[in-house]
Amino acid sequence: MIDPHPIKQHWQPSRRRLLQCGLAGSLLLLASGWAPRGARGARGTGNAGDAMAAVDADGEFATFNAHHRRILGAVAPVILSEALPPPGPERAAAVTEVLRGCDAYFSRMSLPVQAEGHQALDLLDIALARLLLGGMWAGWEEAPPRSIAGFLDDLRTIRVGLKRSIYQFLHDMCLVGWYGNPRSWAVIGYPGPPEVPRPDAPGHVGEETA
Amino acid sequence: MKHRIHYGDRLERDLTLSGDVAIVGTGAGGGVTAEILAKAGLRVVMIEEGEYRQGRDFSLEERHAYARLYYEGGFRKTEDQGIAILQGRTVGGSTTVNWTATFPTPPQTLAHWADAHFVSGMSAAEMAPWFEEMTRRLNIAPWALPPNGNNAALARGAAKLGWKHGVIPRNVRNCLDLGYCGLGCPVDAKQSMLVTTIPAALERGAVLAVRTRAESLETKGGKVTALRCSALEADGVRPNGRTVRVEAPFFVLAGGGINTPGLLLRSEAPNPHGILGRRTFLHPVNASRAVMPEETHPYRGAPQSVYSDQFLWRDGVTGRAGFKLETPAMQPLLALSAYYRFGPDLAAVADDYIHLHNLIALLRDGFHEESPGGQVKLRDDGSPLLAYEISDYLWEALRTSWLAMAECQFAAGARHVITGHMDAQPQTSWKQARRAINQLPLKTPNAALFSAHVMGGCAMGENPRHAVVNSRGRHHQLENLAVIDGSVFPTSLGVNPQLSIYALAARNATLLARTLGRIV
Repeated sequence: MIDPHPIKQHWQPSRRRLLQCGLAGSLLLLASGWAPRGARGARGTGNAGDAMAAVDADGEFATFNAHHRRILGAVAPVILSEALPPPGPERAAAVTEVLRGCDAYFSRMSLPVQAEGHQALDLLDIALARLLLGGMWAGWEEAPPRSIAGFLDDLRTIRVGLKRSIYQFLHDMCLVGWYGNPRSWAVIGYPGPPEVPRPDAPGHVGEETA
Repeated sequence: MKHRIHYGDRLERDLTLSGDVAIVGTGAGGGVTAEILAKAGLRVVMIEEGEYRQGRDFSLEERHAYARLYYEGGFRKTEDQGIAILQGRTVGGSTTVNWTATFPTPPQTLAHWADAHFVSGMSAAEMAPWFEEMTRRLNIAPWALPPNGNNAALARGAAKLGWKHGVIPRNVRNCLDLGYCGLGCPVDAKQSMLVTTIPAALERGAVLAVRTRAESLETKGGKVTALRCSALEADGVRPNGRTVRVEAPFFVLAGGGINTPGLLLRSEAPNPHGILGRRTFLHPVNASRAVMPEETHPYRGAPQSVYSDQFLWRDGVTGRAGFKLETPAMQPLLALSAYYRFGPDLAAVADDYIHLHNLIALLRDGFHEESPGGQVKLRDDGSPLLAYEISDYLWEALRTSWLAMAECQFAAGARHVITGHMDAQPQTSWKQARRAINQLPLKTPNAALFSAHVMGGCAMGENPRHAVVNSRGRHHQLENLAVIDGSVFPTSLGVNPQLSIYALAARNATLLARTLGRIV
């Protein structure tokens, strides 16, 4: 009874998209197999210092590992910039909350989508990949914000699907982590959700938590 | 009557459910079908992948609502990541989280289905009683309160330009005009399936299994014999190892676009003409962001109450793609994450948050040969994935709609307008904006594109070479299976889909009840 059932498609998104990048893609594909990961030098000098406490707190995160968090912790202050509190302890705490917020959110996505996000971050952890994608060799912790902004601009503006997808993913995670957080609301004038009388629904199944 | 609900995440052993009809999905199609069949005296079993969350469970915080109530936290993407899809995944489906815009299927669309897709018995006159019935059932009426800041600006701009525009009918009762429809109505004012048909079906003894994912249909000799499901853990991500098996003489699929074709593909259902999952439509949506001189407070008030159809049928049904102009909900995460720039550019937009104005254009896809829609595929793990390519034909309409939206926003007094495209810069006059938009490069994923309306993939029609089900929703090859959801639409609609699905479900479930009354 079964007939042309076309489509069990091979699910290897990062590899497939890499191939769309032509030569750079081929190099990356090679690199992802053997290249040593980018140098991870002394921490705390660059941007990522803002989020180091969160980066080290492994047990508290559901989906992003320490490498992933190091990248997101370096990218968040660049993507969110002045939307965050000024540099200092308050900003560091805000970046930590961004990481927690996007981890909680992303951990609710389906497993293939989580795997795709992890692959994007794993790729960004490879120095050669960063160089080919956006001309950045430096590790996430030592790269100054200006270099990271240049790298993101490269991802954002060049018309290659892979780069745009990675950019969108980083962007979405940072915005989820920040604008989902009540701490971000006062500055933009958002009063937060209204207080409302709740109906006494039968079959009530419990309060909502994060 | 005590409601009979099984929570997949709490199952201690495998479960077998049986009844007269099994319904997969509790959204617009499944909800209406469940109520009608239960009222006809049939024993109904409802299967839902999402959670059973109700009014007072909704925190109205975006981070909780999107992650819990939508597929992929509201970031379900097409295969090339070019379009982000908002689709509900909770009891009530998308009706629990939609923005309550409620329009009947346009007569042009119904006539086109009869002419081009061999759909029978669904002319505007034949459908009118079903629209009326569901309009009564769900208290649908044009919004009577003043529009919120975002919608008021659309009305002002359209009026100034002499464009057709009108007030949107909404399915609400005692609505408090909070504006948080997309996060789940906290006061049960929205007449979604969650508070209407599902409780009505439960009152009549229907069984509901939640956190229960339909994996595949078992078939034998041209009939479906059972449905296999996985129970999910409380987070809704992983199967917990328990299975739910549903046995019934008749099955109704109502998981909506992407999900229903995905289930049939996973089940290796007959697909003799290779059309299953094809012609999936999205009403691709683009956006235009403006800063208004007045405070719009765009997060509050009914999110959609004004529309303009000035361009919807601009070139006839099968000419250049038309579009409907509406406004989106604008709580901060949704409003700002749709803005794809970063750093100081993003911070500047966020600074203007309470002055922001967003317009969206919903493109009418599927009415032209250069708009064939997308194709549902399966990933290796069996989950469905939609490949959807924006053709040059649709790109032309996207550009036209960006122009129209900017013109409308400047007419409404905008200080500046930022087109929803990664390469766009703020423009301070209509003249400048027109020049800039005409120069924008048009390829995904440069454009920020969205969809909240997944339609098609199991097209209906009387010709089995072109359709998966007939005009009553009955599968052309599997005799005891019907599809009753938005996946049967042979094209997109040109309007927000909920009432089209409600009316179609009311009609097809009523016809089905008459048939099943004889066979079960």
